[in-house]
Amino acid sequence: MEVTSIQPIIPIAVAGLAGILILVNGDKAFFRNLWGTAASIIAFLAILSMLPGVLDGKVYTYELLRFGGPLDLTFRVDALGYLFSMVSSSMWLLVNVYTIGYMEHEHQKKRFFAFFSLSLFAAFGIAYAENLFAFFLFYEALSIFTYPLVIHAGTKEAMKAGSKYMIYTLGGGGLLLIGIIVTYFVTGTLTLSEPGIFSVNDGAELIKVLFFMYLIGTGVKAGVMPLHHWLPAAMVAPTPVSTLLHAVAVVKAGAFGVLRVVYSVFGVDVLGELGLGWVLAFIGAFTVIVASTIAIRQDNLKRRLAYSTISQLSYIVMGAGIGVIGAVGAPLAAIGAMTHIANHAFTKGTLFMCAGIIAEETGKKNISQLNGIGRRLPLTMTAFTIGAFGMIGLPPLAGFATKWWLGIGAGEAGAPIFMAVLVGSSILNSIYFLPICYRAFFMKPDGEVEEKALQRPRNRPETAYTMLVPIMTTTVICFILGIFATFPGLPMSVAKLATTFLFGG
Amino acid sequence: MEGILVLLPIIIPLVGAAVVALLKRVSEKIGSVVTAVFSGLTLAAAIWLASLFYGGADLSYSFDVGLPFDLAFGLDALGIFMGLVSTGLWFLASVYSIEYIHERRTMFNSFLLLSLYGMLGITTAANFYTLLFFFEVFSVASAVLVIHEMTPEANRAGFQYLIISVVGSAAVIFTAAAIYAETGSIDLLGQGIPGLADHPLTPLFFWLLIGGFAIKAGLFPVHMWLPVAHPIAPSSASALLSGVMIKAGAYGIIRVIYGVFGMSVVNTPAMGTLLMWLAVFTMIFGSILAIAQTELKRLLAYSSIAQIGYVILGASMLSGVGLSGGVLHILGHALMKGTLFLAAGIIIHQTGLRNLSDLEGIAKRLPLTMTAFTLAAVSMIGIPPFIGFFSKWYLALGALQAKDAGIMSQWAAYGVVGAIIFSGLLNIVYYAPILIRAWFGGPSAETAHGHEDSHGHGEASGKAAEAAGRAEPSWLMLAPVMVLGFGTLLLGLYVRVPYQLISDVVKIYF
Repeated sequence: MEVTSIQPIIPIAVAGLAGILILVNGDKAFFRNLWGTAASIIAFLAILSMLPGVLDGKVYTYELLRFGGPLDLTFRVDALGYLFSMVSSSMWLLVNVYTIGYMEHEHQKKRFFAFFSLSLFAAFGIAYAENLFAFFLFYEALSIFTYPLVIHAGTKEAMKAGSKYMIYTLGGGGLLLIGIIVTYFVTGTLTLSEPGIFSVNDGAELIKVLFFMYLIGTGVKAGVMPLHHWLPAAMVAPTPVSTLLHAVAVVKAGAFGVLRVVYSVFGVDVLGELGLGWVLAFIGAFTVIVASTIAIRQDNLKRRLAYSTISQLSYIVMGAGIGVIGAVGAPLAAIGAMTHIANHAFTKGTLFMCAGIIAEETGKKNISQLNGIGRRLPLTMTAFTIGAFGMIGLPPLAGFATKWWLGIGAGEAGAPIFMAVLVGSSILNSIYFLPICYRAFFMKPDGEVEEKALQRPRNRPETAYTMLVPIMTTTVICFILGIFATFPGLPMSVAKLATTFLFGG
Repeated sequence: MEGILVLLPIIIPLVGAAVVALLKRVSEKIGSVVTAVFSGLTLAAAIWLASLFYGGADLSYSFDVGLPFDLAFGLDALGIFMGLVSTGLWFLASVYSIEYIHERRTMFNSFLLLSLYGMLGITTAANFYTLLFFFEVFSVASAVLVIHEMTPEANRAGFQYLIISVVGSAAVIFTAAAIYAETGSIDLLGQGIPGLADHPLTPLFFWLLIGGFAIKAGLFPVHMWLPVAHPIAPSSASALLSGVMIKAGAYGIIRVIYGVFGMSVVNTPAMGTLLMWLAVFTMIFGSILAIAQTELKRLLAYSSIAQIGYVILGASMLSGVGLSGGVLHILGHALMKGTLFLAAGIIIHQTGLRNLSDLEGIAKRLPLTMTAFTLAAVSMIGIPPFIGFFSKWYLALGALQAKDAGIMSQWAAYGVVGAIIFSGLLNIVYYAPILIRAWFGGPSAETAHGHEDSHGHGEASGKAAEAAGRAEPSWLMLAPVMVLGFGTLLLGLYVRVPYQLISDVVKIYF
């Protein structure tokens, strides 16, 4: 049931407005924090207000602007888009608080907070885009608005990482645009409100070529190998940015884009019939395994987390692929893939924020320096450990829920090989996450100086509450998403709604 | 008797040029203001004529000059559109010039108005005779704008420009004469002159005419004068040269393809297809050369070559949607390149910096100017919802439409679509570094020394630039840049407004 409503515009407008306001008078900390915080709260509430309707099967739409032809800025909140926006806005709420604490001693705060808001503006736009044109518009906007964040440090290394990031994402955007133009010409529409706009009659060869163009265009942001090089390079950015890139906006927008392309542009039937589900699932599986293997060798904590993200994001890509294997598809795998947007966001968000606290409080960036860090930061490292368990996929954490659904989805699709991939990935995850936890809690600090440095500070908590509260919250959410996974209103129920529509009941 | 009104936008600048010349003795400053007033009046006249035209008036008028053909004027939707775009940019550039031009003001102002007179004469001409009449005025007047600085370099550039212009118009004159001899018609505003369809010399005529106009437009391989002449002119003149004057050539090419020969005649490999590939090549080639430039204005000039490729591509792919993309790009590029050149002028005027490497952190000194510059550059790259995106969109759709109509092979069409997107990516390669330098760049080499090791680049540059202070010019210069810069965004958001006018242009021929 379609309902015309202003609600979809609110989060987009609020985030955009906050960005502009911060650019105008963000030199004062009070206004900067006021605009950012107010916007994140209003956006969250506006999105929350749509939850009952979405669960009820309502689809909110709003047409903002017509450009002529198929080009218009129309927003449409379907279940899949809603899921993405909900994850982004709740992470924004938490990361915003964390950032205020973390960025206290950084430079260029005005620019930072302004573009942070603008990135959310673009992410919400991507989530609610009704057609490929609007999708493309916000997708490019996201690339541009995140650039100042990536180069935040202003060092040569950061500038280089920024250029790399631009080349990858804007280049991918170019291919995406070609795909969109040809799509419109072939199908006469750009809408994303159908379960697929192509039909097999449009020419198998053409569809295959187009599919890869879309896949490269969206896969760049999702960090699908071999298009992932920008992601580890972008680790030079401050930690809140990494959190934003990994957990909230950018790579999630890429993964969301892959899901959109698979389910709303091409559709289950077409991809299933052309056998492209297998191709996609194998690309995903390849990235899952290879990225995890590379992660093992990284000593820099943030880089290890970055490769972990590349690997985790490809769960979504792989799940999207498994979902379209065979003529009828495998909705269970698709549910797993969609839910993983949320589960990975909260889990990886926790890990990155912990890494940020470690760097901020002790200045340590490498894993080999983390011996005994649990003494100095007990709560942080507990949260980190829980996040790591979630990544490995231990019950009852969020990560387990997705692996479970992906696994039975693979069985449903008659492709048990991907179950093996999931198991292999869990083993690899344990190999690169557990040693960190072991070092933190069970190994002694190196030498006396270290021992002293790692003593608990008296009279104050281990780190600022603005940073501590967000990681505690995301940790709790990891449990909730695992234990109450199928509860109505939580991501999986929304994902189920989405698949009901996309797989035709 | 509404027809005679068609002369209004031609007469006003001519009178203006005379008035400005007479005011030289009174005050050159007043002369500058008067120039802006006259350009404003011309703009008003163009808008009035547009409203009359859309009210259904027949806007054509001819003088019997005692020759077998008349000095004939006429406006159709394309002429109206060209008039609006050129007078709009002219008005803004002349407002900007009040402050920007310090030397030889009267010369500059009167030739500025004379070029407007020539430009509007070209777009109002109903036949070759009238067109050529204004073509010469236009060439000479704009050459004076190029020479303005009167340095040996400027003189050489202007002279080169003049000579190549004359060669171009000679080609047009002789071909027009030959066409008249063969068919008895020199009509421009028709749908193809009957008798040219099966004439054996048609390809020759076609290429001579196209060659003549291509020189004005700066199409490869007759583009050499452009990167020399455009940067050397004062920036407000560069904005006009790149923003609209080269479009006179593109306008000529559209008329030659659709008005003189007609689509069905041009649709052969030796004519339409070859021209299209020349345009595609120009599009890529201009951008690649732009990447190698070290001076801002020269970079912008090479970028103009690439951009005129889009317009001519739109004209030569022989599809309605493609033509609409090309015509839309006439407007889009006028806004974008107008902004960029005027902003480059502000940088030169306020800080004296010309080289790309000097622009580190310039946005801290010129935040408003660089905001406009950024909007225009992003539009150049072709990101929605800026206007630069929409012309590319329609051009790409046009190529696919031409494929379906059997004008282009499948691979040619996909090749063209790919080239359009690729050229957008090339734009990123040379515009993005400027923006990055300007907004995030560190200090230049000398000032950086002390800071580099201890602090981050950004911070040190912030301090260095802030120490140098804000350098924004007065609103006379800033306002035109801001209007144009935000125009790229606003006319993108409301692209259906210009597109309405453009669909009327397309309806003439499709």
